Amino acid sequence: MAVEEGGCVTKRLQNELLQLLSSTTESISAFPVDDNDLTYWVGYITGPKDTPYSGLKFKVSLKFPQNYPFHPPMIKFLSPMWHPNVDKSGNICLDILKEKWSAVYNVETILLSLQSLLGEPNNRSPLNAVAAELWDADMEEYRKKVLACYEEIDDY
Amino acid sequence: MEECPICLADDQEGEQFGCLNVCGHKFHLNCIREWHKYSINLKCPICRVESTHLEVGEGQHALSINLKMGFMIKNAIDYVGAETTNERNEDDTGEQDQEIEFLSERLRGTLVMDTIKIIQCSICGDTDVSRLSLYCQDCEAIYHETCLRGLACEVGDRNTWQECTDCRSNALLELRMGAISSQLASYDSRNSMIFAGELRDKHSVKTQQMYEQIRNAKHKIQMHVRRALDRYPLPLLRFKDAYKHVNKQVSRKLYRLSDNKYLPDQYDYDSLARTGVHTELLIYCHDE
Repeated sequence: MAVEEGGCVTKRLQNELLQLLSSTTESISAFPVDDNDLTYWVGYITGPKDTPYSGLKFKVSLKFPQNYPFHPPMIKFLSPMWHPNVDKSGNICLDILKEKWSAVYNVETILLSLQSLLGEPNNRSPLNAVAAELWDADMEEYRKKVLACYEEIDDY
Repeated sequence: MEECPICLADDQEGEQFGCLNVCGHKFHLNCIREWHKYSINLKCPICRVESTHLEVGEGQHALSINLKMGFMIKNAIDYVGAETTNERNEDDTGEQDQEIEFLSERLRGTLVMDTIKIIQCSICGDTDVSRLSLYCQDCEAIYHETCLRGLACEVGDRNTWQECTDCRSNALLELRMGAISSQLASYDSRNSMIFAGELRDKHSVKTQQMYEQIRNAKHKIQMHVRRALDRYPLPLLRFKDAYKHVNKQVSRKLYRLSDNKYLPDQYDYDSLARTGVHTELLIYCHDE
């Protein structure tokens, strides 16, 4: 049975969408922007409790390559985000989206990993050095910075 | 109902499952093989334990696929592809994909038959896969291009160097993309006269056999020339150099005439040697 690569990514993403719709996880959600184009999704993450991001919601974009799941999707924060591992443009530094990628990861596991990243940043390789310093030094000031950058999601 | 963790589909579609031999995780055969095309190691996508074999099927039809061999081939292709990235244009990209797909299919067929092969040049025996650049589509031998060219200059016609030494097939697949024309242009035809040449005699018995054939052929041809020379009285060869010079010139002509092979059925070497010696002596005496 010869399956083209484009067909593989579409079928895989359809399966993922079905799984997400039946998922019971409430702190994350994701769906394609266009019903006719499964390769571009928008996801929503709720900040974990007992972290500076508690109670906040963030919007991310997921762009899937034609060789997904053998290559990771490209993910960016669309909401303004103040975090050691996220730069001003929303690009994310996370190892499972680069060299530690595995074909068994999916949208749900990726979003859950991003959620974990909010509470446990990797300060050894920061994209936002000020945030990395402040995380260790002054959590109150860190929270103020987060709220200063925060914008409510208007289309949620 | 089993589900493949990579494509998230179950086995209702008739896809065969493969099981990694160390950790026991199962995937569709095509899915795990596709993953190995992109990954930089042979670790399981689920638990990251390194595996060497993929078990397919059960009972008397069970197969064990050696993943390491395919992985070495993939690395060789990736290396060659990276080398020519700057030379490749957009038209080559599709061709590159087709080539990798083709090799993947061939490897799958080879691996399912559970044939264990050493990945090495069939001429010099070198196992540095990063420099292997020619792949025979019929018998799956692999060569360095320099070895094939050198062998053709030594033994055969340099215009037919793109020929497999195992099965004489012309179906040699070039693993470098976009570099064929420049390579042909850079080939120095004067090297066709080199006998020591650039052939590497590292591990291969075949190279030694080839050289032995060459030495035997030259030795036999030279015997004819010496017999022809010995028929002349010694005073006519006033210097020792005359014997050396004529011997060398006539022998070389006969080597080239029969392409460095000893073919007594096709050539009357005695007659040719006498004619050649006579001609060379006239030239030599005239120059003196």
